[in-house]
Parts: sequence; C-alpha cells; structure tokens
Amino acid sequence: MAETVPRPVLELDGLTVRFRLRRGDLTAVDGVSFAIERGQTFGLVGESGSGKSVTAKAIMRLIPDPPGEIPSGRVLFEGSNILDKSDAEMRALRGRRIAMVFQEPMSALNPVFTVCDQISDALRTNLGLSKAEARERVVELLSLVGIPSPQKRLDSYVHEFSGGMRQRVMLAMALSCNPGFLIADEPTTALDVTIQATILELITSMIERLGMSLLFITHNLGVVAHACDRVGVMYASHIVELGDKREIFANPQHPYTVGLLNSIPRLDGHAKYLTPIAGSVCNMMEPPSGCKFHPRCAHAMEVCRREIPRLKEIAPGHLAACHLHDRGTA
Amino acid sequence: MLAYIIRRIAYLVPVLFVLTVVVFTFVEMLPGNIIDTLVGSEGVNDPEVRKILEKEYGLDQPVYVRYAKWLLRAVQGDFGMSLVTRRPVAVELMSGIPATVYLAVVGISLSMLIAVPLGTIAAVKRNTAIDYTAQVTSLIGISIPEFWFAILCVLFFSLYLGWLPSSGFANPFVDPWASLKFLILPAAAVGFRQAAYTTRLTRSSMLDEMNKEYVDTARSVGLSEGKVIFKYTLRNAMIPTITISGLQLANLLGGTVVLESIFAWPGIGRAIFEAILQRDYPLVQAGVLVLGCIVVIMNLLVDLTYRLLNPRVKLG
Repeated sequence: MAETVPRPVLELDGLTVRFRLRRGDLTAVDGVSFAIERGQTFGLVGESGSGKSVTAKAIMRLIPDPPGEIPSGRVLFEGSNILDKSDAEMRALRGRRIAMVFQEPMSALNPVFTVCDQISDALRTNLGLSKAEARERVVELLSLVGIPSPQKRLDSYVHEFSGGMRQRVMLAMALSCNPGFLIADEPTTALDVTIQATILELITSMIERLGMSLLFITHNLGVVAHACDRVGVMYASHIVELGDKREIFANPQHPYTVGLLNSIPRLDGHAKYLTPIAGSVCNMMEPPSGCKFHPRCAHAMEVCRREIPRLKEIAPGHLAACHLHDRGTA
Repeated sequence: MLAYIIRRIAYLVPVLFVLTVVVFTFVEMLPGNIIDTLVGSEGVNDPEVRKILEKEYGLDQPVYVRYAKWLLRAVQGDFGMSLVTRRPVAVELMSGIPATVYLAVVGISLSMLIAVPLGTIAAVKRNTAIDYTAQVTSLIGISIPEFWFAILCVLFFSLYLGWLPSSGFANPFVDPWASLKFLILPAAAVGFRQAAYTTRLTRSSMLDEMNKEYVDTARSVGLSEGKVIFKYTLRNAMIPTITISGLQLANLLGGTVVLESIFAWPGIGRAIFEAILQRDYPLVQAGVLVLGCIVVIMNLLVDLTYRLLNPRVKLG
C-alpha cells in the first residue's frame, strides 16, 4: 500500500447500468465499486460481455439513453459525481480531464476526416488553439506517439495507416488535451500480435511520462501482469475480486480468478495442458440466481444458488466476492 | 484521374449507339408516322400525295437504311430538321435544355434543403413526435403520384387561392419575379417527392452512422453534440444521400415529362414527348442522344463527388 494520496482520482460506488431492451431488462453492470489512485494503473479484467466496456462508457457518460440507464451508484471523478453533471460540464471534462482509447481504431476514428482535422478539432475546442497552432501541436503529438515523419502523415486518412499506426493516432487524439486520466478499452485486442506489445509499451510509458492515471480494460491477464498496479476481476456484471496485482496473481481468492489464471499458457513448462473454465458465460438476459458464477464453479454450494456474495476484505486491500470465505474455508 | 474521366466519357459511344438503335426501332414499331400527322392535319388523304410525301421524307426506304443515313449525318454533327417545325433539331432541343436544368436544379436543391436537416433531426430524435411526423410525411410523399400532387397544387394554389399561375414559364433573366412565380409549383412538386426519398435515406443512414464508434470518440474528446452530429456523423451519412440525389438529378435532367406537360414547362422532356406523339423521328433520335449524354455524364459527376466525400474510394 504505497499510495498515501488522500483522494482517489476515480471512485466507482455501486455503479449499476441497465439496458431496457425489447426482450427485457439487462443489467450489464451491477453494483460495481472500485477506486483508482492518482498515478495508478488499474486493470479491469473479464470475458467479453462481463460489463467492462459498459463500465468504461458509463464513466465517460457515453451510455446511450434510451435504452441505457444508470439507476444507482456514483462515479466520483476527483471527488465530484460525474453522473450529476450537466452535459456542458461533462463536455468540459471530456478530452481535457478524462480521455479514452477505443478497441478498434479503424472504426473509432472518423473515416472521412484527415487525422489532423480530427485531432485539431479537439485541440481547438478544448484549448482554444488557432488552426495553425493546432496543426503544429498535432505534429508534436504524432511524433510523441512514435509516428514516423508526422509532417507527411498529417493529412492522411485513417484507412491509409496500418493497424498499429492507427492505434497510435487514437492515442495521440486521446492525449491531445493533456487529460490526467485515461481509459484504455482493450487497446491492443484488435491489433496484430506483433504490434500488441509495442502499443502496450507505448501506452504505459506515456502514462508514466505524463504522470497520468489509467483504467486499463482487457480480457488478457498477461497484459494486466505487464501493465497494471491494481486489478479488478469482473464476471457477469459484478466485480468478483479486487486487489493489488501481486496479490491477485500469487494468491487468487475467487474461483473465477483461479480459473482465469489456470487458462493462461505458461512458458516455464510447469503445466502440460491448459485448464479451461468449465461451461460458458451465462446469458445476461436470464442470469443465474445467487452467485453468477455458481453454474461453472467447482466449489458451488447451496448458498451460492440463493445469495449473491458480497465483496469482502480477505487481506488488506484484497477483496473477493465468494461464499467460500464466509465459512473461513479460504 | 483524367484518364479515368476520359475512359468514362468514352463509354458514351456504345451506350448511345445501343440507345439510338433501340429507340429507332421502337418508334418504327409504333403505328402511324409523320405523314399521318401532316396529312391528317392538312385534310388531305390522297394516296398519291402520301406516296410523294413519303418519298420526300425518305420513308419509302427500309428502316436500316434510314438509320444508317441518320447515323452517318449525326456523327458529322448534322441531326437534321424537325419534320414538324422544319427547324434544325439541335435548335429545338437546345431551347428546351435551360428550362429543364432550371427546374431540375431548383427542385433537387429544394429537396436537399428540406430532406437533409429533416432526416438528420428525425434520426437524432428517433421515436419521437418529430420523427414520426417526418416519417409519415415522407411516406405520403413517396406514395402520392407526382402528377396527382402537381394537379392538387394547381387546384389549391392557383384555382382556389389564386396565388400562383397554374402553368407557364418566364425567363428568369428577363423577368425574375414572374419566373419565380411560375417556378414555385413545379419546383415544389419535384422537390416534395425527391425530398420524401432523401429524408428517409438520410434518416436511415444517420441512424447507421450514429451507432458507429467514431461518434463516441468525437464525444469522448469533448466536442459539442452539434459538432458531433452535424459535422462528424452527417458527413459520413451524406455519402449515400449525395449519391442518390445525384442520380435523381440525372433523372430530372432527362426531363420530368409529366410535370413539364402539366405545367406547360418548355423543357426537353416535353419536347421529346411531343416529338414522339408526332412521330418526329429526327427530334426523337437527337433527344435520346442528349438524354443518354446527360445520364452518363451525371453518373460520372456523381462518382467524382463520391470520391470527394469518401476518401476511401479509389477511382480506377
């Protein structure tokens, strides 16, 4: 517990996001709470559909309403609740204080505007730069994220870049107005394996260099091991385990986390076979009762079917939501 | 780029050849010919006179000979005389083009001015009263036959209210005010129908685009909602809209035969229509050539505009 900063940059408190769909209500994020300290990198891990991206969008207030709604919870950014802000206050926050890097840069960047147009629009809106100043700043940003001969690439369109270069452009755009907090939603997933490490390295070095805090969303525990300080594991709209990276990897407390760790290939030759988690992710339209993980859990008990386990502190700063811990069996 | 344009214009040659052959054949297959028109109108019905006239107009020769002769002269730029007015065909047609272009351009501009904002707002405010109103209105616009809507307009605005002339045309350079009054009803009739299509198209492509991730990106860097929608999203949504509007314009430039007839609009559509009725072969043939050129060139312009709007498209 090195962090002694009094107030976290971002604090989620019981955030719930629901979508009212024609087939019924879908709770995509259910009572999620965690905090990110200043300068910290927080990894939010989970399978597709676990609610990670929805959580990110809720923080940016990008959940479309309808069909989405946030019936309860708070998102405290530097102490004030984002959910209470007016649209204008929210706009003032976006880009300048919080920014986001999306998963698929090809679709997250506008296909019919040049890279310079898009980034400089953000600069001109947020920082009031002139056209020429913005253009100059875009060159700086592009070279900052490692795009070779940025002068020449300024007026290119997104489709004229390679996948890795696109994600660099995306990062340049997110960093353009010096936000203190960055959300990266699976920023390496859509990239070639060979590029993934480079982009990951770039993001973490940028964060360090600019003294930013980062919420890193991924389904890849390997990426978490590399980049994050603290980790939250999400399963079916709930946070099931929360703790420092070392704790999570060395001493996982939730059966789901254990399962995730067992399904990572290891290069040191300890295990011959991977152990996948049995079953598949539950249908979120009709989630199982009690603990969402119980149908796939080897340790499932009677109580797991009835009651949703609450997050409990197992060791200082290490929380898990599992009934196994109620009985002191962990 | 230039090579592409030249190649596209070269396509005109086969297109026009096939077009004139088909039209020549069809007009030939129609019962009656120019002699009936002339003889009938002059009250003469003497087989001898008919023979002489047919020889004079070259109608005693087989159709392929006549086509070959026509083609030979046409490639030299000689489209012949109108059989009815005895004036050069080129003059007859050229006199119709300005009126047609005038109506088509004003009609399409009007439709875009209505449809693009309306379709965008309908998409942004989807499933609200505004959206439903826009949708129902455009459904009506698509469903009502153009000529019927035109006649209703004439009934209401000309006969009942007496605000606007029911038909006619005035040169906008000579008398702009009178010209505008003549223009309003036909332009509204053209614009309303085209706007009906364009509104629906704009709405649906806006809805598609608004679900794309770049919209969230634009929001996530703090741009205003107006900019996100009207600059970043609309520019993408306009790609199909512009394409279709360009094709609509090509159609209208080919002459809105029915509307030009209703409003006595002296355009190319009406000229060709009357030429067909009177079996005025040279005029029909040349008219079809002009229409063919218009359609091919408009398609080319649409493709070039498309390239401007959508940088991902490469011409080749």
